Amino acid sequence: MSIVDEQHVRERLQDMLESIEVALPPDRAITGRGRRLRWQRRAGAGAALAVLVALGVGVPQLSSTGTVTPVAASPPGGQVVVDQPPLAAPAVGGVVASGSTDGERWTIKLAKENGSIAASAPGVTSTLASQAGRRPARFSAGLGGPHARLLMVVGGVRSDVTAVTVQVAGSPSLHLVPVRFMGQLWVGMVLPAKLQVTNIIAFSAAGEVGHTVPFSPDPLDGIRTIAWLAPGQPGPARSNIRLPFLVAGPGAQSHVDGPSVFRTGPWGQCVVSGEISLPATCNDVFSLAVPPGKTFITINCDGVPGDLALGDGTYAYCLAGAAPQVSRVELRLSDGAVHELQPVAVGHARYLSFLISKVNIVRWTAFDAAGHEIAAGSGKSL
Amino acid sequence: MDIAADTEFSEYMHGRWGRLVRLGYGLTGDRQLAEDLAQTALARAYASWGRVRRSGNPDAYVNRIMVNANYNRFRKRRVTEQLTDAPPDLGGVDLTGRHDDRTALVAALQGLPRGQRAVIVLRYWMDMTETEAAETLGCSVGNVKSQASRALAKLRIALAAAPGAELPEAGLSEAELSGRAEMTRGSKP
Repeated sequence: MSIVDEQHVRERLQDMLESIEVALPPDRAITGRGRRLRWQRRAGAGAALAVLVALGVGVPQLSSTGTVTPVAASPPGGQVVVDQPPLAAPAVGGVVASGSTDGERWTIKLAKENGSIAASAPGVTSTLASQAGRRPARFSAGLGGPHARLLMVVGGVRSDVTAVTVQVAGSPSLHLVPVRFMGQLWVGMVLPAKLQVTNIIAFSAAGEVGHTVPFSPDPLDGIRTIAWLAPGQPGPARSNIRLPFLVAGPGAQSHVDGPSVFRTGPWGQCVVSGEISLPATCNDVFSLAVPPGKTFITINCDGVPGDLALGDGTYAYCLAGAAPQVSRVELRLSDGAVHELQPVAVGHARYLSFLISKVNIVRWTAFDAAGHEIAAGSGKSL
Repeated sequence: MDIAADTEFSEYMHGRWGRLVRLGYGLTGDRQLAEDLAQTALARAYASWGRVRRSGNPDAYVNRIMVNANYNRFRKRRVTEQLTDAPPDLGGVDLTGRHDDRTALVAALQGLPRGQRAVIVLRYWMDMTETEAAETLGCSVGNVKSQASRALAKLRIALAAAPGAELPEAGLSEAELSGRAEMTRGSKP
């Protein structure tokens, strides 16, 4: 078969896709998931409002549409058993973890793939994040199995970490023992995706070295671990705050959903933009902190690979932290456009977010409430 | 949600389910993933049904969720898509008759980068205009045009190499040939 023109493609696709036999939709599953999503949104918005009101935080653009709704109790967990290998034992055949979930055996196997390391368990494969570095561990998570019901979590752990405890709502904690693969220590587990991982604690021979609270904005999206907290440190209170959201640049599309919602909590800070257009962008809670007396604005632009723009364009998703005295930020872009954003107070700091496409920040200027320029810089210094 | 809205959503869901699963199959090449994407899209539409129906174009909303959920499958979960010599699962496809053509087309589609695959499916199966496809994909019309052009070139090359293929009418440039080699190595998440 060859394809010579568009009509030919059209016919072939028609032939292929229309021949797929489709059963009736799973009504209950779909509406059940939809209801859970709705409850979660309401609960999140309501809880954020309650926290902020309780703290007396002045938030000019705080969402006030939500109402407090009792969060449904965690579903009863499946039975998860993780095998306990000797500490730092070599991973035989790349298998870094094994166990069973609801009686089904699983193993997590690592392998080199295109210069990175990929993890695989039954029905799910993930390319792993970079190594732990100075953090106690760095986790990657992937959903898989029938109807994405299983969540595989794999993490490279720091060399001094001797054990990792995973706390799960409504289920006993899991204890993971690191094994060695390619010169690094790893832990892993496979959980029913419905389980809510509430905390992951890393231990060294001397005791707890830190803990991380996973961010899970959507029960269908697995978990992300971002910030690590010192032992006993509760981390920031949970809050949801809507940020002003700018979409700029010649490659940007005006329909990108906004504004973004700044979700702060013990996991760190994440910005979830709109409802469907972009995935959450998360930053360690400390990465945007403005050093006192040193600078007025810290911008972190995270390039989003060409997916959104289909390879030709690149969006950069920028989050900025500003000093408390900054009330307005002017951005001059490489296409000549000038945009203004007003940071929103989140606790003691101020933040703003924007999405730029095919354009660079040439210069930023920060103004105080009286309209005086108090700082400026070039894009390179951001 | 009130009973009338529930009923309206149920009718919408039953009317679109088959089309969404097929769209998902075109995007992923996997029957199970296709159903998961369709479920996700409809669940999210249900969660915001009031707003979705007020938009006046629920299809556009749901299509965008499908496409974005497919992208997010790679980005958030760091899913690795692996190309293999074996054709992907064909689910309920009737394998009689045009089996070779279909499996070759499925394999060729899976060899395309995700964005190009999405453009092909939206433009040539869903019959979207370039503007509609750009809206759904969150990119410019120019992008849709260029990606469609590249995708067609790659499909032409890939399908020309399929067993029993006729030679395409268009000649193959060196760039196209090198593109084919790149495509068969696989796409990164």
